[in-house]
Amino acid sequence: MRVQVYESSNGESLVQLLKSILLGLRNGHSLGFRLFVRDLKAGLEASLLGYFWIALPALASAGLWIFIQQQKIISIGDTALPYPVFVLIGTTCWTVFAESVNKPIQRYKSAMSLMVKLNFPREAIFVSAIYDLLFSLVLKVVVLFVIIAALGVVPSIGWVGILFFALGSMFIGVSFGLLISPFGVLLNDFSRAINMVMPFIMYLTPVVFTIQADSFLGKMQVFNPVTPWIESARNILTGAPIDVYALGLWVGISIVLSLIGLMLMRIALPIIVERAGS
Amino acid sequence: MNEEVLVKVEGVSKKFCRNLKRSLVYGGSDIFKGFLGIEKSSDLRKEEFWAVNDVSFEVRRGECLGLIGHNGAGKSTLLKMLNGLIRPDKGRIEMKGKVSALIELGAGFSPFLTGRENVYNNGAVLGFKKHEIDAKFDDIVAFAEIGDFIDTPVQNYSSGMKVRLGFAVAAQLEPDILLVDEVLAVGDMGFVLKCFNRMDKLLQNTAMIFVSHSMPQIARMSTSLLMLEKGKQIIYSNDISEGLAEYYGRFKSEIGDYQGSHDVDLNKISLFSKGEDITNRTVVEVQYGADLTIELEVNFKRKVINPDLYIVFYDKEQRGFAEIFNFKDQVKISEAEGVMRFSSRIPELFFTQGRYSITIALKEESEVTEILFRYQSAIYFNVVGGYHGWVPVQINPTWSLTN
Repeated sequence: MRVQVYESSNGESLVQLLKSILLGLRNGHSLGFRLFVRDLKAGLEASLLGYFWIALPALASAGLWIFIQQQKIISIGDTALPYPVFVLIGTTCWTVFAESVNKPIQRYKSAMSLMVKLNFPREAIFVSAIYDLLFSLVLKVVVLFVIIAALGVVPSIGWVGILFFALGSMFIGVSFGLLISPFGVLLNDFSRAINMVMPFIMYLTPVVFTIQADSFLGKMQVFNPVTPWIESARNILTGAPIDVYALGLWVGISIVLSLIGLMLMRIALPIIVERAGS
Repeated sequence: MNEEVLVKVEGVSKKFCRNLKRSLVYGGSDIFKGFLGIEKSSDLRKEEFWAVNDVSFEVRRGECLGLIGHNGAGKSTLLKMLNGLIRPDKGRIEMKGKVSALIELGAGFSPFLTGRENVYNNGAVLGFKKHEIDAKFDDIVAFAEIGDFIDTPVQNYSSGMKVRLGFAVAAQLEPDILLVDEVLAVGDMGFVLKCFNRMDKLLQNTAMIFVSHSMPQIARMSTSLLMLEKGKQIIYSNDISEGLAEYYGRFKSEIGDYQGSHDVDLNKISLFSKGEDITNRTVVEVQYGADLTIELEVNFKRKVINPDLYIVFYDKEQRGFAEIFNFKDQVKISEAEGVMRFSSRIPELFFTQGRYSITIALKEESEVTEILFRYQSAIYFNVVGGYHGWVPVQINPTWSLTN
């Protein structure tokens, strides 16, 4: 028979913690999927445009930048791809990333009313966030494909690569989001700070313009987790080389950060639930 | 009682902070310490207090612990610790087996989805697999008595229907330990009875912890009683009737023993049964069906016109259930002054086994009626032996076959 002991200190070793997280991911998987479906259906209920809202932000900001570029309001310089295709890939990957950073905090917060009352594998919330993001990502990428096809890009096997690179920016985003969740769920200041900082980071990233490789900003791009994904997604269409090592490194980093984030959440949730009231 | 102990709580305490901002700061620092593996201090910090303070108890399989106390006494906090939602700051909790909580019925219900979809969602939150719900689905709908509404969005349900559906799903649980928090406060009588029957059935194989403000429900379900007050455990009894008696004993003073003008004092109350004064025995006991005489010594410090003594019997749940109001018909005095003794004899007392109290009031009926004193629960007595009924009073009519 399973025996649970609750004491002041969790007294769990890192290995035990990791084990219980993996177990939680397995046991909480179907619940996580249910929660995702539930919220997806509920979210559509009082909305006319429905799923369209998921793809809209990337299109709107791309549309704005295409307009700015055509009107020559600012000079963006030469892009290897036609500018509309260039900027659409950029904004798609960027919105995937930005959404992924915010999603864990959002999900944990909205599940708080359940978490203060019932004991279920907390990793289910993470699973529901992942499903939520995957759904939104696929929708965004499909819309992107439809539009770039309409802009005259010939469909190729490389498009699968674009899907993969969008996934990469999602996972790196989620891992950062998870890492700030312990404090972000507790204090609203964190969500506000993220919302404020995100646009800045966007303009430090080659989302809507190119960044000169030999400039200071260009050199700093090795520290930018989104840049390799966006650039690879473009390079795969132009045939330019893809920095596989950088991508692999960021994949590794995002896995490690996610696991650390999940462990931190395990430690933090009882303390957060204590303060959430009922 | 040699069943295994499933719930073992040893010296458990939990502190909370009164101030929200400070609480968040403490929370942040506690999370940080948790990450670094630094032991949290178990002392109170500024503006903190013990929400649960040094509580210990055990519950075995087949037992039900009734958890009572005023709002804010720490009942829900204790339950959250038992459920593993929050960690104790001191002490140790050991839970053996599968734990389920009936804390909020219909947790995870989404108003836009149909009853059917919500049954699956709610079930998933409670830990059921899909095939388990598939198998139990018809039982759930039948138990909830909502019929065709099962395919209607839950936002169109009445609050009673939501609770019924929520309980119906939860009723399918088969845990080793069940935590129940005040979930049966709503719903119509018929459904509440059904829920109790279901819980009775569960109890045979479960260790239950039952929080309620309703003493009849506690008396009905529980085998032991724990009362919290400001986080401290002030009553813990493995005998439910003893525990309840102690609980009501504590209430005595709160209800206000004695209210009156002090123009008239009740000097003394004595109880006699079978010719003996039983008042000062350690246990004041009356045999079922025996006689009971209540003797009162009243000191009228001023002249009282048309005095009327009124006696009420209360059961252990502080419900009045019998009264004596024929004083004036039999004691014909129009004025009273000085020390007077009255005696009231009940030839046969057919009260069911249990603990009762007597409340005595004196009225003056001159131009205006005035209550001169009222002594709530002035004396307690137990009735022993004889018939154990569902209600306090038995009456013994003459029966005959009439066809």
